[in-house]
Amino acid sequence: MGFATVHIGAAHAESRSLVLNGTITNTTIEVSSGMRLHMAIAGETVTATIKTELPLAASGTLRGRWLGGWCTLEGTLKEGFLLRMRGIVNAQDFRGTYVVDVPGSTAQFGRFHLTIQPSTPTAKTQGK
Amino acid sequence: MVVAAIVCTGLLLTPVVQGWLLQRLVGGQPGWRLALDDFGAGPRGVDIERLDFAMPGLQAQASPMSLRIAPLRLLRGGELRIEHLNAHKVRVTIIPAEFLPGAPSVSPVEPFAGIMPWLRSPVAWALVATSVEGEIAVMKGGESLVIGEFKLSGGGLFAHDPGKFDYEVTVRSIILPPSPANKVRSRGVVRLEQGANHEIQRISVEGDLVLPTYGKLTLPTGTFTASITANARGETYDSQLAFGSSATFDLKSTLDREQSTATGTATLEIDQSIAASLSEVKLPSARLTASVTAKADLRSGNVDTTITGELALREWVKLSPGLAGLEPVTGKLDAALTRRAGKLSLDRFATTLRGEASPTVVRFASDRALDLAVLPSGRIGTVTIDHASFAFVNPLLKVSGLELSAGEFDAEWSVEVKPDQIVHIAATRPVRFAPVTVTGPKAPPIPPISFAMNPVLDISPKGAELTITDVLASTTAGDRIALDVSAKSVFADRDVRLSGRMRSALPSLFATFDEPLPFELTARWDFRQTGTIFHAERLEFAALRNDDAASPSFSLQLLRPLAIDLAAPIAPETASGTEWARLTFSQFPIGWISRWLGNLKLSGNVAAGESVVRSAPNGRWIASADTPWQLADASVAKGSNSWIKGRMQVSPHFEVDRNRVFFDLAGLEAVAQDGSRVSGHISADARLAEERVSTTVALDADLPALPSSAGTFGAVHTHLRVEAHNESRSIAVVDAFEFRVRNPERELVAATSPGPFILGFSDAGSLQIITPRPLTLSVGELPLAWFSSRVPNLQLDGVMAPLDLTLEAQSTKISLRALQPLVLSRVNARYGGHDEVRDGHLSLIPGLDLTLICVNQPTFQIAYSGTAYTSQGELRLGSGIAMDVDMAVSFVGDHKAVLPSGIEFVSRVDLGVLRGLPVFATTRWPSSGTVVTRLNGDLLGKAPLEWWSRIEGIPSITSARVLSPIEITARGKLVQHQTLDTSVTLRLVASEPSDLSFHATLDLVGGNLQIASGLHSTFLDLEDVLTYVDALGSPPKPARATPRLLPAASAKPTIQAGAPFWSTLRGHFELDLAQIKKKSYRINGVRGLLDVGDRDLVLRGLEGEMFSGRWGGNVRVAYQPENEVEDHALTAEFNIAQFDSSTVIQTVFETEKAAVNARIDLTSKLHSEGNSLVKLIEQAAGDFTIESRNGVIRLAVPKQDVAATAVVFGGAVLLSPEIRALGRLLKKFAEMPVDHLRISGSGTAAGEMTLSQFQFDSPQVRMFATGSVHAADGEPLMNRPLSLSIDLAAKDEMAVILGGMSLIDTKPRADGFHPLKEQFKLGGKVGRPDTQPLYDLLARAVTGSKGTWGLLMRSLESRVKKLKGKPKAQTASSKPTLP
Repeated sequence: MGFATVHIGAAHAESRSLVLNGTITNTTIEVSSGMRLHMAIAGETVTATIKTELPLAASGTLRGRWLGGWCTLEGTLKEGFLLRMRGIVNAQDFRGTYVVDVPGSTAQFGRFHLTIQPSTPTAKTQGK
Repeated sequence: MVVAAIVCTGLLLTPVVQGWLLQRLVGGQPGWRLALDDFGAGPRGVDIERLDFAMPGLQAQASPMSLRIAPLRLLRGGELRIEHLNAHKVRVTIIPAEFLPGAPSVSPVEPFAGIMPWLRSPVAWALVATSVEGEIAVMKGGESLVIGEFKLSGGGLFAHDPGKFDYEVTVRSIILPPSPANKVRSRGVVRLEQGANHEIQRISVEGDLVLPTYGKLTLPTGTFTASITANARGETYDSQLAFGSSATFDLKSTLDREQSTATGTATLEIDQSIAASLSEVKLPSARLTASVTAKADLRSGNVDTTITGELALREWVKLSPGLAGLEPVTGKLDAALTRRAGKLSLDRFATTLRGEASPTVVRFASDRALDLAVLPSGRIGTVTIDHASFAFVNPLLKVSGLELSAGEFDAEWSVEVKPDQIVHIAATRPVRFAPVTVTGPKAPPIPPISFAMNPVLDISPKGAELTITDVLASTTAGDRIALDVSAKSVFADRDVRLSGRMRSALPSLFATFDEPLPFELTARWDFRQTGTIFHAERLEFAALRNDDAASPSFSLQLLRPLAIDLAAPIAPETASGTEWARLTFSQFPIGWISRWLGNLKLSGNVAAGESVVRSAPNGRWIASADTPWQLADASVAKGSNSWIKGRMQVSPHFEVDRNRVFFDLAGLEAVAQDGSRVSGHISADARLAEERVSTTVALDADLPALPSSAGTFGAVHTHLRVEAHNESRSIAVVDAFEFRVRNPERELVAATSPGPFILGFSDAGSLQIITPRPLTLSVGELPLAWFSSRVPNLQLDGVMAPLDLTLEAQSTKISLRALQPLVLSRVNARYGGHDEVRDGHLSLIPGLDLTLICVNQPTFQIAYSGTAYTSQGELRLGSGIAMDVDMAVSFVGDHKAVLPSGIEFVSRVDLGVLRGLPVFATTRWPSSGTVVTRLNGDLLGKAPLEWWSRIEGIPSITSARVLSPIEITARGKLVQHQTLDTSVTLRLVASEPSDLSFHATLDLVGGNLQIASGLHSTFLDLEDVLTYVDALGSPPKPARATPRLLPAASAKPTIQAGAPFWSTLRGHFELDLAQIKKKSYRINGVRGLLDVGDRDLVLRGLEGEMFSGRWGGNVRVAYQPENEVEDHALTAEFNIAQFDSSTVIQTVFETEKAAVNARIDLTSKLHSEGNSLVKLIEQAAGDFTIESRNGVIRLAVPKQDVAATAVVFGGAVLLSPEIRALGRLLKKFAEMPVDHLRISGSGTAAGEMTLSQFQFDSPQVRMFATGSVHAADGEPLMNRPLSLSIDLAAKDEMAVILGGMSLIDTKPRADGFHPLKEQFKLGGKVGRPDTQPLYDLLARAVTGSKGTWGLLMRSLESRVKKLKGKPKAQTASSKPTLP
């Protein structure tokens, strides 16, 4: 079993999806938890569902753009705060930083590192 | 002594011994007594119901006791043999009062004759076994108190055998309170030996001694031995007592009964460990050895005693680190003590302390013998100190940055006892201490100081008085302090008086380079303290101007005598407003302070000022300024740079009473010459009982401009107000905080607290900051031009939009947040006169999280960690987004340094938009493409640091196509000092992906990339790589000089690269490239070494496989900046050994039968100059040589597909003889064996190749040709046009055939070959030569016409067609027989 690879080049018209698992760390309060992200990519448009575990539990849907591996996601989660993620996807993983705007509080920053799961059904072989 | 008593008691308790001892002791010793009750003797022994014995200081009772003897032995042999003695209720009582001198029982006349004479027996005796137990009591106040128990058991004492008795004694400590733990215990063995006359010859005791713990003193278990041995002249006494190695006591003495003298020596050795166990602090290493030698005349009572002692003290650092400089000290004591006729006299006494490493000597010696029975009078001794150094204080001064030189202290005092028991200690010569040099970074610049003084001290039971007169401290620079002080104390009254006067002139402290000593200081004081009442009867302190000593420029004067109860320091109950002290300034210069300010120069004077201390109701003191303190003509300058000039005024106000201290710098007003003006006040109010202090700082300033910002903001007004109070000793609350800077138009900067916040230290000493509501920081719109003055050569335009930030702190966590993005818009930047950025727009969300650990115990320390954020960063140039970036950088630090500890970085760069930057306008910056990059990991080397980039969408330099993406992966760790040790992989994502991987170290400070590893690749398409290099190559830089004009034919870009094209890459590779491809050429298994230096890039020992041959070569590229046009030069040599020529041809003409089929050796040398790698390759020119043996050359027949050709080849018999000869010739040309083929020539940078030599030798044909291969851009060599002029010569069959065709000379050359009469040309392509001209020549020979090979073949074709109807045999024979 090997890691699935993903087409990360310029936008392609066909749709594809990725399942990613990993860790999200809120560096403001220095707390980490598990995270699962399911991304659906259509051209430059990305829709993602996110679910994080305790103690940073949250879930919701994010939308954003995919530009040659540069990926931005943003959305208001069910818990009521705005999450903005920016990072880069390569054939193995998705890493980047995020900022959370919590109503009535100051923004919190963090980082995430998600690994592309081999079970991703429609992943394309990169550059091949 | 207790043991001895027990032993004695034990012996005394034996009935037999008692029997005859009683005769002697009771009768012969005064004060001795014995009483026996119910004394009953039987055949086997004696039972005694009660025994009662007494001697001076000792009583013993036993009831009952049993004694068993062997009567027959007594009767028959005269031997008293005690079989058994048993007594279990013995009480031994010690009577201290009867040991005192003068006690009636002590004989005054009988000299001590020893112990053994008491222990004699008239008959032989033996003690077989005994067991005695009992109590030890002491008589106190007529009452006997039991203090301990004892046991004694043993026996075996015969005339010639020593008896052995085990004993155990436990006695209650007389020092400690009664407790089971507070007992003295001893256990051991007593041995008794009989002499020849039945006397006790020797008594010895050997045992241990366990003492209880006395407070902190716990001694180790002691061991002791003691013995008394009788001899002919008397007795010897020997004893040792030791507590481990800490303390030993040794006593050896002798009793001479005939001389009636006793002599002996007692020696004590003890170290610091016993004293150290009593102390909380560690003690220096110490060793004391004391010895007392005495000789006593037992008849006269005279005693001569000598006491000596030695003391060694070292390792003072154990006592305190500050005493590390104190040298080891040795001490000696020598004293003689005598007793004559009852008079005790100290004949001599001297003690000396010496430094081990210096000549320091401290000595006290008595001047004469002293009668210890009476108080002496007159001079008794002398104390001297010679060569003492005070350098030992330097470790203590270290924290102050000062160091004392080793000046010497010399003094001598006489010690005299005067009437009224006054001990008078007076210096017999002036005490001197010189020279004292104070050095160190913080030391004032004072020359060596000499001290001299005359101290006198009188001490009596009533009091003490110290008078030090003529104190003079002086230097060679004219510094002088003259002082007289006296202090007197009356013990009974608890009264202390302190008086003195001082006058000093200190140019070393107060004179500056350009100003002489401004003033002298004088002081007088008379103080007295009785109990807690302090009387200040006089206090005067003044600074007298040198030019006007009559009117002091500064004075402090007590206006009337003052008495204060120090227990309650309140003002006296006098009329309110009574003036007590006055402080005045009058033209008091302050320039002298410059001496202590380094490069800062302060000038001016306190022109006026008067403060008066008054008493007020309720015991309050008030110090207020009747005249404000006015600083005039003040200036502060650094070097020649004047910082500020102006004047200042302030009215300090100070109030204190029993419960409150209030201080206010009121009316503060400072005006500078440039118009800056500061006003306000600073006050502090302390409530002593509540331990509460509140402070207020309120300052307003009007400034003509912020520093270096006059043209940006204009005049500004600043306002600062801070109100704070403390909640406890370590917690403060800032009740209000406001800081604002504004100009007439708007607010520029504001920092405010919307509510109180807390500052303080926790119980553990950690700094805590708590902001219940975040502090706010606002920055108004800021012209970026303001930054221009702060960076040389930078011109900035644009604005920073207003920004609001919040600062929130919870304990040690601090966060800084922006309430809106930081936006820089309309940014134009010019650096060094060049446009760098036009119409830029940057926005980002900044943030900071910080954990601050700050402790003040035991010393102040600060440490922090945190993360700084840049989120949603976006750089726009014009209307395009040039860059998106997010970044989080973690860091750790302390008060000395801050280190980045981790990074999360992602970015997307649009190269096409970035090309809009003027800085890229003249470069080969790609017109489109993107680079996404991420950098993640640890920056302290604990975890990997990973970098990944993807470059895509880059057009080729001709914009003809979009290049394949490149992915770069680097994974490594930071090692040592900011060096990245990493593995790098580059992957060109093409249809046939190229890859490269290597290991490298990157110097993050210098930016140099150092490589020392293999360079691995599974496939490398050099064409792709060079295309990338061409598209992304280092942009050339402007030439340093005007490029020289080159001939038109060789005109090339003439701009220097300005740096090696390998940039900062350094190191060496071991090449391991599985396959290299360039267009249709491939080299497999490439090995070699690549060395990259500052000015050379060298490929050595290249080897591989190419065209089935062995490929090799060496390449060197030199960076030669001295070449003003093209600063890189390439020299290379390549060779291919035994390559297959057919495979070369088939790279272009895949199905072609090769014109040359041979194993060929190729050598070539290339050279070129250029300013990029691509140019070096494109412009390479050189020489080459090709050699081959034993191959085949084919001169293919044109139009082989024509049937006639086959017929000619077939040599049909129906053809003419000429045609048949031609057929044989064609077979020869179709495959000519090669004896030797050599081609040499040269190539130009434009791609033209000149073949200066083409020599072909075969057995029957030799050809020599010259010609050229023409340039064809982009075409492989095999497909380039060929032009050869050939001279052919033949011999043997070829010569016959050609001769038959009249094509050759009939006369052979020297080598036997006949030259062709006519030179022919060969054209076509290198890989597919066109042989038409040769065959045209042959055709003409056949037809004798001027026809061509084509005409011949068409003619022949028609003839063949006519023959088609001929018999099969003929047809069959016409089939071609191809070789």
